[in-house]
Amino acid sequence: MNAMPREIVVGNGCLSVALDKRMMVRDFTFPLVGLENHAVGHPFRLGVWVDGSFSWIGDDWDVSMKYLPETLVSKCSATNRKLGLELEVNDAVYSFLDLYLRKVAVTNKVDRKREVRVFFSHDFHIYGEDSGDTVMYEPSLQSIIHYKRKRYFLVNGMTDEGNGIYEFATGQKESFGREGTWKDAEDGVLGGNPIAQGAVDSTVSFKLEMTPKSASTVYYWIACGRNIEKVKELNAVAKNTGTEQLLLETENYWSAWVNKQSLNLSILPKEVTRMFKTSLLIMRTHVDNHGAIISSCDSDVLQFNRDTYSYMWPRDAAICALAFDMAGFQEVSRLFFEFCNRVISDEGYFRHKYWSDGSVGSSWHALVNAEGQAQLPIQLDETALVVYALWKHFQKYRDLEFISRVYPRLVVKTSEFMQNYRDEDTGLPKPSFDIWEEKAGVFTSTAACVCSALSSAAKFAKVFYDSKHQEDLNSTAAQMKEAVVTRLYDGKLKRFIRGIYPNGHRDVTIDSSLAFTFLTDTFDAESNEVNETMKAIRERLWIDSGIGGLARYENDEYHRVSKENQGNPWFICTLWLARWHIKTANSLEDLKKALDILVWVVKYSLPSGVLAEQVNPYDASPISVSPLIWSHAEFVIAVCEYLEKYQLLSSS
Amino acid sequence: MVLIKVCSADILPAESMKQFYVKDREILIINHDGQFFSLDSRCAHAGAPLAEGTLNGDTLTCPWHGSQFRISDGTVLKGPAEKELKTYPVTMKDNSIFIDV
Repeated sequence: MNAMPREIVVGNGCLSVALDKRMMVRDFTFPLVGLENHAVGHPFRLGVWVDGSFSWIGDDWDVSMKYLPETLVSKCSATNRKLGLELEVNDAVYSFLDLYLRKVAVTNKVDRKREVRVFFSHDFHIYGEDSGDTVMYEPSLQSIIHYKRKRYFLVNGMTDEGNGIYEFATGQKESFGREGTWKDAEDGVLGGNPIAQGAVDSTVSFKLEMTPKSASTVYYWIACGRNIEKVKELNAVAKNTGTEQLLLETENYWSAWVNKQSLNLSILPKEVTRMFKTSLLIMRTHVDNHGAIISSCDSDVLQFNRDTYSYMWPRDAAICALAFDMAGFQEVSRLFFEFCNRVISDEGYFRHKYWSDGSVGSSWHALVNAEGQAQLPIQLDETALVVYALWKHFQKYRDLEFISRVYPRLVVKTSEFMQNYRDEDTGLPKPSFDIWEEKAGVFTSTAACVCSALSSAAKFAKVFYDSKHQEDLNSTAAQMKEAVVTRLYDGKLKRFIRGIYPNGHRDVTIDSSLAFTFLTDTFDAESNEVNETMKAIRERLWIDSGIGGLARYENDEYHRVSKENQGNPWFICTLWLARWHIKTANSLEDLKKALDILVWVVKYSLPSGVLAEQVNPYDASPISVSPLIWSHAEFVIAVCEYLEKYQLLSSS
Repeated sequence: MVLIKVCSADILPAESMKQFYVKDREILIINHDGQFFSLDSRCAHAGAPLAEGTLNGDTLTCPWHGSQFRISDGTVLKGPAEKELKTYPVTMKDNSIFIDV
């Protein structure tokens, strides 16, 4: 299966389901967001049989995939002129229960009576594994159940005529040349084998007797639980309440959720407002109800390095929490900070990344450097950004009781660590891995984040009346800021350099992450140092020969499409430029540059509003994971900053 | 009658619509054929954002389930909505749109 971006993600903070451009379910995580993935990219197909022909939704179909506006229910359509059929599909995860819902409205475009069969296949890999699964037909419920250990998935449905599953098949796959029951379905008939175990899959069909030029509907659901009783209970809810009603309730829930904060968005172009709300909703699908915010649900990146982005990176997640706070969703960011409070090391730093259950994630950062010397395998900015985001949260919401619960570990412990993890000679942080997770050294962006975190901790210390600590932190932050200017600003180049490696080598690469000097409030965006740096970034990294946008840094090889450009356009980097325009705007006219970038981002999103990590500089096709939650978070932050600045400039 | 200024007429080109918050209410302003109309901006059926719907002449179609309303008086032209949309009198003054909520 080729890598395909996820066009739609729906979820409820426990169950998350992602679909690709063929309307196939490709990621199915439960009971935590991002963990466990019971599909791991293996497709759950949707197909039809009519007039003796079979077709899975794919290249033969004109497919459109969007969200219903302002909610987490999809609005997809697929038309096949040859077959004379049109499908309108809505996908959702019910807001309060672990039920994946799918409504398929079929229109018979032909002027004669026809029998249409609608097929759903399920290639479960329970716990992400390819063995030990069971799939069986449950006659009393007339449903299919996939299970292993403490994971049960019950598949069922009903037509608008009240008919249940018409035919079913269970069988083995991925061994002895067996492709799976989905292949057997292609004659329009399912064998009815009642059970299979090992590496297994299933397919079910629903029969519609359609009059000429008419429409009929199939309602379908997958109930998820830890035991058979739970999925039976959920199946009863779906059957008794009806999928139509559950979809309505879900539409309403997310619409109320995303509109709860009455930000004045009317000054924004419609497409920017739409993207702002879609971004918040997509971000929410990546927040586990226990607080982890994963970077992306898209597991297709597995094909490149046998690992995914379905982890909580403290950096990405802190920026996402910051965005939620700015947009007024403090209850979501609180969940995240509580998660951080649970997982942070006793030494006061965050590790590279975490699973949604709080266990430490995989890493490529070694505990020794090239010279064989021990090194701490961390990215220091990840610890710093959580502290900075926590201060921003408190500054806005003043929720002292909440903060007092996390203060000892998330502020005191972390700031002690950051104060001690410093080179006494230079005043800069000791080496750690950079924001792009590639190299170990002392980086300007990391140092800026740490300065900001220490200042934030000092402000917290003032709140908690710890004046000694406050003084120490302020003094360390000031010394570090001075060291950044002395050692990481190049007077001849008139800009910040990227960093210094442990062997003393200075890396003068122009890197968009130097924007963290002002993004974290360490330096004034209008200071000469930042101004000159941002101008150099704009000049050197803007993609002139393609669609525009900003590359990460000079000669970025990660998924590089062409040597003609410094790299591919990244949404986050381009949005940092927008944020600089916002910070430095002195008039509404100046703000236009930022608005142009916001519109640019919307233009190169997927039709559903999903933002990838990066895009092809020539055809804007998504590259690497899609969605990337950091891209959405930066968009939300930029919009909030834009609104605030617009207000300020309008009233002055 | 209390007239509240919503926006300048310039920001609403012909055959366009936009949602505003007026006194904690979500209000939709529509420019159809140079005439301005004001209605509740949430569908009377399931609360969909009508500003994301489509405008065809004097008919507004809901983006979620396809209910249709007449913009001049909020009448339901096609279900599933059963309840009409509330409308608000619009007054133009110095090229600005005022409504009475």
